[in-house]
Amino acid sequence: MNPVNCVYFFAADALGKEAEPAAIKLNPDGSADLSLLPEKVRGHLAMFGVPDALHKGAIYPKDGAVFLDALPDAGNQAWRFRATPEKRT
Amino acid sequence: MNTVAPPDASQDRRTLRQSFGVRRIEPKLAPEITPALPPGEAALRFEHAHIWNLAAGVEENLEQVSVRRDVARGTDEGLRTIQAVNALREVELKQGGGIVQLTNEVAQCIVRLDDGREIAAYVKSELGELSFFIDPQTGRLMRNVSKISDGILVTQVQPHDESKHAERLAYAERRAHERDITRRNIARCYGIAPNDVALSLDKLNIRNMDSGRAYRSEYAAGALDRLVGFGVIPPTALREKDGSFATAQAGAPGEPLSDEEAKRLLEIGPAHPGGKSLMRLGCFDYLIKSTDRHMNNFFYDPVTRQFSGIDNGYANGYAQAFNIAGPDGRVQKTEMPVDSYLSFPMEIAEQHEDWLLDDEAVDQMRALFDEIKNHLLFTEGKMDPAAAAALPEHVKKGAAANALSDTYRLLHERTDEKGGIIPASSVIARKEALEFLRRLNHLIVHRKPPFMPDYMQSRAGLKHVFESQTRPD
Repeated sequence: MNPVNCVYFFAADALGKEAEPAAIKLNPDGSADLSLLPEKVRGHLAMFGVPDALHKGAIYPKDGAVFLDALPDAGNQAWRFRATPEKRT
Repeated sequence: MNTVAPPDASQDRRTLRQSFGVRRIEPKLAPEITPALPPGEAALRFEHAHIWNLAAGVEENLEQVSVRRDVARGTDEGLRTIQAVNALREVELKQGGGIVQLTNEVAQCIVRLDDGREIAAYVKSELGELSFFIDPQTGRLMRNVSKISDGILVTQVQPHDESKHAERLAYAERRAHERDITRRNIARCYGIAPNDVALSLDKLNIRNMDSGRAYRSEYAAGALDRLVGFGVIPPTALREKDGSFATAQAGAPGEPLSDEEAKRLLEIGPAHPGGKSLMRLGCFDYLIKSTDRHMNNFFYDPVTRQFSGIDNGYANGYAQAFNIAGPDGRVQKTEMPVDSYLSFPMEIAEQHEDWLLDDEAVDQMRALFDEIKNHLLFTEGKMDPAAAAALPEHVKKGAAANALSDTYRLLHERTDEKGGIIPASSVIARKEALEFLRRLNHLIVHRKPPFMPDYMQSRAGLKHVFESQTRPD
């Protein structure tokens, strides 16, 4: 399995229509770069992180590739994360 | 804009049902079993038929509870929910021009309601949540990914993430090692044999639930929310497609809280515009034993001032009973159920003594509790004859008690390969329904969930908001 180095964020409206994606890549220091995300999402992820797939705790942007790897499983109806930039209708 | 008028108290249920176009789940009394079917598949068909029958009972009884509550409150909220649940159950779910494929991922689609409104719906298959196992050949942590494509079940096994693998593998190995102990503790709690506890030995269960059963919990959460009348879970329907069960849940309004919004919520406390709704969600998490209400799984809509809980698959799991060492060093056996919780709304409710459930919610719960209690006393012949004679007809019939009972049977009962209900699973269902009533009573008395011990508090997030007021980095 190739290491994840970019994940795309999609904001979805009430009917599930997705906005243009925002890329989340790795910074030179190995942490995840959230700078292109809407402020609300950036703050949420920085403070709360995302749950580990085994539900043993949270993973934060400082965890870099692990964080990117966990994002697709941590999305919800309003905030979605995928490995490719194509919007879904 | 919905143009449906509020129900008139003079209308009877039949008229209301017709005016709202309420349709029923038709029970399937017995599945057609082909002798050539493999034993496992026959058992699955029996179980599906059993669950479908129970869901029909839940819907029938919830309709009565909802209509009575609507009439008493002069609203039509309950009937609107029934309407949405029916639409979610019956319409063809389309996604991007094609029919929704059931996978272990959540699929999104659009549902048009009878009144012309369109809503987003999210479909979860019984193929269920991700499951994990340790590959005995390689020792690697693997995960199962399944989907039904053109009616054929396709299962892929993928290695779990590479990074932090050793740490996660160690954790998984510890859980696997403790699995037999967990089964014994669960069995002791319900007075059944460890082998009767439905936890697969070949899969890693993230919570005290078997993989692939979360769809029942998802549906039950929606049903129990309708039973208590809190309005914190989006309408949720049980569906069947390609021989597989799925839930379809209406999209929740709003989105997760940002860090700043969470801080503001904590600063303002119960006076927050959504305070009433947040407290209801926290209390509901206590009722359903939620173990997955992290910050991504509850939304706030500032327009309606409503909090909503999504992703209820990891709720209503098994309880455990632990031995307790006394001060003299002797171990005391106990059958007291111990439950796990993970709920940010419950944690928030602990932060301020004024976080209390609203009067309307308490009154509804008290009415529900009394109705169920009186129905049980009546049916068991334990009621004073004069009191029994004066009992309203709906209490005698016991719609609320039956809705509760059928919901917990749906959650826990399993069938054997001849279609019989496994007795131990009925024992669990009955005990869990009674424990639900015990929690309901706690909320009526205390108006908030009990405090959670520190070890059960979420392992990240809220503590940072409360204590450090700085982002972890």
